[in-house]
Amino acid sequence: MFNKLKQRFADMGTIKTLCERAEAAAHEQHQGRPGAEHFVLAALDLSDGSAKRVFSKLGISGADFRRALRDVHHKALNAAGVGAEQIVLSEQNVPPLPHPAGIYDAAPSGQAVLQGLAALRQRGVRGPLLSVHVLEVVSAMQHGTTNSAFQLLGHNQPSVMAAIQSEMVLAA
Amino acid sequence: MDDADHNRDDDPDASFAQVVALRLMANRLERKAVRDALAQGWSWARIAQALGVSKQAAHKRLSSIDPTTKI
Repeated sequence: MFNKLKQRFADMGTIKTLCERAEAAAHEQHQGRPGAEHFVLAALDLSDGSAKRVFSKLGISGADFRRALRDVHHKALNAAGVGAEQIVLSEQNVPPLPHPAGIYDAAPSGQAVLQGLAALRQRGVRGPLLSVHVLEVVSAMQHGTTNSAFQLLGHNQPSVMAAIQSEMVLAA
Repeated sequence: MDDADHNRDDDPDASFAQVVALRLMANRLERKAVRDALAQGWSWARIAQALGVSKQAAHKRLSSIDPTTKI
């Protein structure tokens, strides 16, 4: 009973840190609400290091992933007929977003991450909430920016999931 | 998904990626345009009219923009 309570408090602390860092990552990219890709970036910063180890297994770094996220958007804009110069101009001198106030607000893909993390315990996952769990939840999403970024880095969904599973076996 | 898939007109993944990227770019352009308009003395009523939204909606979403901050 006491251990469960302790676990719940620890999880709450992890989720709080995760949410704050995801929000900061979104703001850096001029996005008001964090999406799944920002939770991945936030997970890489968590102290347990398990998400970072998954990235190492895949041979990529957080900087690579960040760059891939940008490239995914740039490629999509190019495909939509937007020129490179226009893209660069649109990213310069953007007024900063306001500091978030009130209830935490994530983009729908970010909300799905939080719901997925909350469902982990119902699925029988034990032990502390780890950054690799964030990757597990996000990598289950078939579509979206995160998936496209991994693809751009040369990793399809099964290869990302395999790296996550091998890390989770070690963490268990 | 390789480049060939990305270039196909009927690939939903590629089309949605374009929609997302265009939306993000539009948001950035909107914030820049509002900053410049405010710096040139535009009222919120005028900005709202130009954006095709209500004055309340424009103000609620964009009032944090400081017209004096050009990085």
